[in-house]
This record gives sequence, structure tokens and C-alpha cells, in this order.
Amino acid sequence: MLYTIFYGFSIGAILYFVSIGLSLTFGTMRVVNFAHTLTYSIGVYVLITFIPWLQGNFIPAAMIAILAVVPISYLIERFIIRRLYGESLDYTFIATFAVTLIGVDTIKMIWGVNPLPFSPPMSTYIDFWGMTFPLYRIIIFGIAIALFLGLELFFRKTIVGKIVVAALDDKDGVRSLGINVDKYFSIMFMLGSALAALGGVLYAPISAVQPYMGLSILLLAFAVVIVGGMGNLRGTFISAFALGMVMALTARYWSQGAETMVFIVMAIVLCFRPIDV
Amino acid sequence: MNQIESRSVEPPPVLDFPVKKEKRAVEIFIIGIGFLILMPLISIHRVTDFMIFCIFALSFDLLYGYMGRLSFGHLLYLGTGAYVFGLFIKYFQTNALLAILLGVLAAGLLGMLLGPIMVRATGACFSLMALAFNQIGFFLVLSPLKHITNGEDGFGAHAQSIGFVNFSSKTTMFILTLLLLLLVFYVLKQLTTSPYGVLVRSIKEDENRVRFLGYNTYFYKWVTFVIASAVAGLAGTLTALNYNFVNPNVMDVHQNVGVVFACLIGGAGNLYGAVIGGVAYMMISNYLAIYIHRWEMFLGLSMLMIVFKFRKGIWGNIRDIGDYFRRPKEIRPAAQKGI
Amino acid sequence: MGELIGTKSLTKRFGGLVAVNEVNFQVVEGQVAGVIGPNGSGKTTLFNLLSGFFLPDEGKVYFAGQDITQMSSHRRVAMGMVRTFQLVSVFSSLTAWENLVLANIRFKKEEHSLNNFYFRPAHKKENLEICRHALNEVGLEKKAGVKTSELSYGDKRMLELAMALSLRPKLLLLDEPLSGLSDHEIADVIALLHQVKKDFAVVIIEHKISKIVDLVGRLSVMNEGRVICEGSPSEVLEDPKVRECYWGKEEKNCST
Repeated sequence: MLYTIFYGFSIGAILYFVSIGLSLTFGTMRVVNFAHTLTYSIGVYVLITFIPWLQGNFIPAAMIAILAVVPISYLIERFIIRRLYGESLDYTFIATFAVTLIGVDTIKMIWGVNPLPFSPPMSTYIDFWGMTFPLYRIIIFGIAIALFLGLELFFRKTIVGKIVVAALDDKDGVRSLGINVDKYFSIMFMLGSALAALGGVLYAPISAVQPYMGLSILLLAFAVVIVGGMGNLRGTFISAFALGMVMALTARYWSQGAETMVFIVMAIVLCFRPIDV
Repeated sequence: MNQIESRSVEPPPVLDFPVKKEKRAVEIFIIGIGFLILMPLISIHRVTDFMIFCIFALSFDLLYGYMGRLSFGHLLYLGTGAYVFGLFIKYFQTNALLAILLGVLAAGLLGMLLGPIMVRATGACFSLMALAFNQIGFFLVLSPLKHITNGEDGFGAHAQSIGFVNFSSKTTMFILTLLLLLLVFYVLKQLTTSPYGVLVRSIKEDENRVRFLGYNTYFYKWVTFVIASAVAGLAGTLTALNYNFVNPNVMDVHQNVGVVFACLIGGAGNLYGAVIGGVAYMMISNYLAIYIHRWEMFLGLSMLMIVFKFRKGIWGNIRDIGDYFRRPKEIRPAAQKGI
Repeated sequence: MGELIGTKSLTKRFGGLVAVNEVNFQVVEGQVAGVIGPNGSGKTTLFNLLSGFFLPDEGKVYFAGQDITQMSSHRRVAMGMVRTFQLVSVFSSLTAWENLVLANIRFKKEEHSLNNFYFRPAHKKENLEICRHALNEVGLEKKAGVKTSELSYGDKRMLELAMALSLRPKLLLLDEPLSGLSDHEIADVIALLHQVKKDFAVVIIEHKISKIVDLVGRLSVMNEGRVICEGSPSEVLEDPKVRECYWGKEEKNCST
């Protein structure tokens, strides 16, 4: 049982990384970005490509992967997302989904269709209360906590953070102070995409790597953001872990039902708290 | 001022303003001919596929083009129709027509049950809820109901002939599907040009205003949803009948993009677009894949282009051109400029 | 003449702001009442509460003897309460006559049959006749086939009034019907209102007070969520409280 909870935490951490960007993009730009997890998958593929070059050093390869994703997210933001400001929902959905299609096909073109094998960078286990836990998952969880605290500090203490928080509330108000809000939103978009890549990179060793991996986690990320509240970062943190726990618990008793249970929870939440887009 | 004072005095004048009189029989004839022409060009089996997809696209257009709700999980109802059809044939009777009827009813019933929850949602909420339900349905037939549905592998469902109607014959399927497509088109056309159709279009534009005209909009949205689900279910039953086989792919969430694309490229909100777009998408996914290896990328790129440049779709643009030429010469702007 | 609509201690808050503050507002049958007041005084919110757009935080609304406080808006319309909106509210994607279809078929008994509503075309002869007639009332019948998005603002306003009239109201709530109109269009609207006021009760919110002074029998003035003055137009416009809320306190030794 303890394992289940433990796995729940690590899944939750990954969900958190991936969902932050989605929540931010929606909160700031009011655009539902269906292409969000593209950077997630691209990050993973870049990582896998670079690891042999760096003699199996995980951390530098991970950093390269995350950095590689930044220019791509910039392009997406500049040419697609920016044009979707204020558009009706159907078109943003369709356009961003189209980007996903293009991205997935590009991945297939470069790296092929077949799943790529990838093993965790460390197989150490820690003994704790007579049970063994993989250290890797503990680290993932640790990073998530650190990230959360870091983001909290960022949004409260730094000027950029405060601008974004204010703009989340009242974009025009901040703009009328002469601040170029769009520039900060772009930065947030890229940050969100980079975090998604981080999530991918960390999760890759313990999951399957195939071209459609972005799509499967995208739906889960949407569920997290909806349950936690779009644009609400603390809510995203809590719901990521809550849903991660749901997944772990469901997987224990009913192995294939994990993802579906998340959707059931999302559907229930939507029934009682419809979002206004 | 005179016009206002004449309120209770003058008898209503005879109408003479232009109302587009659509000749239903002509339209149906054209569609029928269109598919009959297509038949020898592509295999008869393929064209039947095309038509089934067009039925599905028509149901989607009702929901998206007319009511303005983008569902990312409409395949749920197609799948329900297919599974109920298949299960009935497999476990009860092999009467195809009865099975079709039950499939349609089941899909409609599901629409009735989920409808009240779904129609209260708008925008992203609606799309994602639809997606969630679709995913749940997919999972249900894959896993918990495995002993009935045979999970991933699916199961065969062979309908027996009724009298001289042999359902295994490709020609029979073609004719049956064509007739049903024309029927669906006719019914939906009648619905969308009726006062109910005006109501649905008004709801899409400004639901609140419609409430202030005294209509309970939730009810009418629910009705629309049920109709769309039922027609999607019909498409599902035909799919199962056509292939004699049902597996979870009929409910695959990712396939929803096809029907969205079809309505976009054809032009949403006028039913013709759904048919045109349906054929277009089927052509692309079946044939383009052979010539262009990266057809999904092509799909994505064209969707982007449509969203940014070509919103009205094929039919919308055809209609615009038609309107332009139909206007009296004096007010055609180009004519005025180029004297 | 019985009370048609009345409110008791009607209150609506938005966060810390009390938009409508314990308002008691009555209109009797056949009355034409005006509601004026500075921006933000709660006039539109009052309409929204009366018509069911919002539900009040406290207080009650009565219509034709019934307590309708919790009744949904579409049922209030069925009871005979019709409103228009500050920003003219018509359907731009439809043509002018299509806008009237929904309003007009409500009262035709045969239209209630499912077949007619769902299957018979909206543009059949009888419907067109009725819509034509309704458009004729407001002088728009020549533009029946025009797409609403192409009509001028004044025409849209007239169309909205045609829709409202087609709904056979017992009480017509008009929210700033004259805003955005040219003088000529204002004259048309006022003429129309003079004609129809015999048929039912009307409540008008307006800023162009001078235009409605001849039309209304009673004027209510709202400020900061309360009705501060009520009476005949001449009485109300002389009242110092009213002048104060529009123009500020009167300075005694002003040399203007």
C-alpha cells in the first residue's frame, strides 16, 4: 500500500511539471493549448538522442533537451498562439491540435515510429522501513516540491512574477501601466513548455517512449488543470498529486483503469464546476 | 412615419423579398448522383465507407455547425451504435434491421442521459467532457466488458439476409447506405430550416437572448444533442454492418479529428459542407496516405491553413461566389469600380 | 388598475458593491413609467432582477399577483414580461425576418404542433406574412431579407422593438432604447412607443430624459441602488435631491 502512495506521488510530480504550462497558458492568454505536450515528447526524443553522445550522462543531456525545446516553443508561441488571442475556442483547439499532428509526424519522420527503449539513469534503491524504494522516483518527487516552492517564490518576490500574477487577474490593467504584458506571457509560455519537457525527461526512463506519448499525457494534463482550476497554480499542484494518487490507487486494483478513472473524476468535477471559456 | 402609423390600418402587403427557395428533391438527387458517379471510380466498398462517414459528419455538423458545440468525443455515439448492433446480432437475433434500430436507439438514449450534463457546458468544458466520456466508453468496451465485447480483438457480427436482401453483398450495402444517407440528409435539412433550426442557430449566437424570447434553451440544446447522437449511432450500426466486425477502434478518441477536419474543410453549418468535407477527408485519409507519406502532417498543415485563412470551407466559399454573382449588376463593387 | 409588477426590498450585491439596495418598485397595468439616474445607479441591475437575468440576494418580485422571485427568465417571458437590452440585442447571423420567427410563432396555436415546429420550413407563407406584418409595424418591411449584421444601428433597434412587440407583452421593459440613435431615429421610436403604450405597461430606462418626459406618466430616480424620488416628471425634475445627484450640491453664493 505504501508503494502505491509512493508511486502516486511520483506520478503526481510528473503531472505537475506538465500541467503548469497548460494552466499558465490558459490563465494568461486564455488559449487552450492542445499542442502543449509536444515539447514534452520532443524533449524526450532529444534527450535520447544526446545521451549516447554524452557517454550516458543523464543530467547534461537532460539540460540540453530542455534547452532545445525553448526555441521550438518560441516558434509555436510566435506564429500560432499569438494569432489565437481572443479567438473562439473551436479554432484554438483545432489550430493547436493541428500543431500537435504536425509535431507528431515530424517526430515520426526523424525518429521513426517504433518505441525507443530507455532505462533509468540510476537503479539505486533506498531501504526504508523494511521496504525498498527506487531512489529515482524519490528524486522526481523532490524536484517537484522544489519547483513548487521555487515558483511560489518567483511569483511572489520577483517583479516578473508579480507582473504575471497581476496580469492573470486584470490584463488590461497591467497593460495600462505601460508594461508589455504580451512579452511576459510569451516568457511564461516558454517556461511552461520547458517544464513540460522537464517532466518528459524525468518520466522517460520509467515510461514508454513513442511518438504519441505527448497525446496520452496531454489528456491527463487537461484533467489536472480542470480539476485544479485553470490559471490557478496552487490548485494545479494539489490536483496533480491528487490525480496522481487516483491513478496509483486505481492501478493497484484495476490495472488498466488508471487513466479512465482520472477522466471520470474530471467529468464529475466539470459537472459541478463548469469552466467558463 | 407613415409606415409606423399604418400599424393597424393597412393590410399586410404581399411578400416579395428574396427567400432562398431550396428545392429539396433536387439536392437529394444531386447527392445521390454524386455518389453513384463516384462508385465506379473508386471501389464500391470504399464509397460505402465514404457515405457512412458522411452520415457521421452530418450528425457532427448539427452539433458543431448549427449549435456551435465542438465535441471531441462524438465517436462515443458511433461506437455505441456499432457495439449495440454487433452485440444484438451476436447474442440475440441476426435481424439486421432490428439491430440497426436498436443501435440508433441506444446511441440516442445515451445522448439523452449524458445530454443534460453536457449541454450545460460551453466551450472547452463541453469539448473536454465529451472527450472524457468518449475515453471512458472506449475503456469500458476494452476492459470491464471484455467478456461480452471480447476487448481489443473485437468480434464478428454477421447479419443474415432478410428475404432477398443479402447484407453481405456490396451492392446491397451501397444502396442501403445511400438511401439512409439521403434520408438523413433530408431529415436534417428539414430540421435545420424549420423554426427549430432558426432557434438552434440563435442559441449558437446568443443563448441568453433566446431565453428572453421565452424559450427554454436547455431543452432545445438537449434535443439537438439527442438527435446528433442518434444519427451518429446510425453511422455506427452501418459501420458494423459493413464490416461484419466490431472492435474498440470505432470509439477511438483520436479518430475524432477526422470528423472535425471534415466539417472544417467542407464548411460547417450548412450540411452540404459536411457531405463535401466527409468525402474530402475520406479521400485524403485513404488515398493521400499512399502518395504522401507524411499525410498526417499534411492534415495538420491544412487544418492550420483553414483556421487562419479559409474558415468558411469549400461550401462556404462556393456560396460566397454564388452570392456575388447573384447580386444585381449595379451593386457589384467590382463592376462599379471598373466602369 | 391592479399592480402588474412589484418588488419588495429587492437587493443585489456584487462582492462589496450593493447594486440594488432594498428597492420597492411598482408598476400598475397600463402605466408608462420611466427610470432615470446617473450611471451605476442600479437601473439595469433592477431590470436584470425583474426579468430574471440575476436572482436577488434578498427581497421578492411579484408579477401579475404571483411570486416570481426564483422563476427562470424564459418563463417570465411566457407570463408576459418582455425586455430589451442596453446594447441592442438581435441575431446578426440571421436575416431580419428570421429574427422575428421565434418571437412570432410562440402564439400561433398550430405552430405548437411538433411537426410544424421541427419539420415545416420556417419560411413558409404564413410565417413570412406574420413577420412581414411585424416588420411593417416598425417600418422595416423593405429590409426583411437583409442580414441583420448589415442593418444600421437604428434599424437594429427597431428590429429589437419589433421582436419585443411580437411577444405580446403585458409589461415591456426597455433599457435605454434611445441610446446610439440619431434624432430622426429617436423620433421614430418615440412615435412607436406612443402608439403601443395603450396596449400594455412600459418601463423605460433612459438618459435622454427630455425625450421621454412626454411619454411617461411617472418617473423614478435611482441613485446608488436606491429609488430616491418618484412622481410625475415635472415634480421629479424639480426635486432638489434629484438635481443634486446629477449636478452636485447647489452652491448658494455662486456667481454664474
